[in-house]
Amino acid sequence: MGIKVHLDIMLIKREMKSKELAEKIGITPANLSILKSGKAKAIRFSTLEAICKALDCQPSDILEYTPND
Amino acid sequence: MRKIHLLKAILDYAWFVTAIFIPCILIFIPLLFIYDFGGLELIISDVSLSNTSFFGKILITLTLLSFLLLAYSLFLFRKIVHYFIRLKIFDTYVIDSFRKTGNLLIISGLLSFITSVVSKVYFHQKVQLEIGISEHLVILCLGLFFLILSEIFTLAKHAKDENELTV
Repeated sequence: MGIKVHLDIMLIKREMKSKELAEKIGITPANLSILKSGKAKAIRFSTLEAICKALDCQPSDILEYTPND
Repeated sequence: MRKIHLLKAILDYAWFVTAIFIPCILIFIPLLFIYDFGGLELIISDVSLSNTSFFGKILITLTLLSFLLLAYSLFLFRKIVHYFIRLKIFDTYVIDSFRKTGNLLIISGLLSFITSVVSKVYFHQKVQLEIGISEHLVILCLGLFFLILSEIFTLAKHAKDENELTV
């Protein structure tokens, strides 16, 4: 997929653990892992909003579009 | 969920009754070509075995083959219902079984229709036009319905997978 998720980079920058973020935004660690690994097919605006709020960042800090070959 | 258990019970009964005949048919088909049945009169789908020729034997074999295909499709449908009871509704096995059942029913319906028409022409020298719902037409429609169900379940599985991967 052309959308890359840089959630792990943001977690390192904010010195936060995945489990902690999952608890803050109210999703399961398993679902957060799906998002981090790039296996997710879609992300809800509410989840994105919660992540941005918890990590104090913009959606563009987490998501990046790279054109496919 | 009571309805599905009722369906399962009916299918189990139908399968039990059908399964008794399967080994008999499998033994009977080779015997038909080897052994001379003489005065024994056997009527399967308007094909009389008492005055049978080699072509008659072929027709009987095809009719029995269509019955075996129907039996296998019944077996597959029984398995599908079993998967439904275990709440494995959008499983790959269910989709494959729906497609297989549909194909088997279509082949069985066509086979029984062709043998029925040919046997009437060959043994009774008459062409009979049946207007209305015949068993062959019902089997054909059922087969097509199962194929459509298979396609619908493929789309549903895709939607379910996408929904599960939405965070």
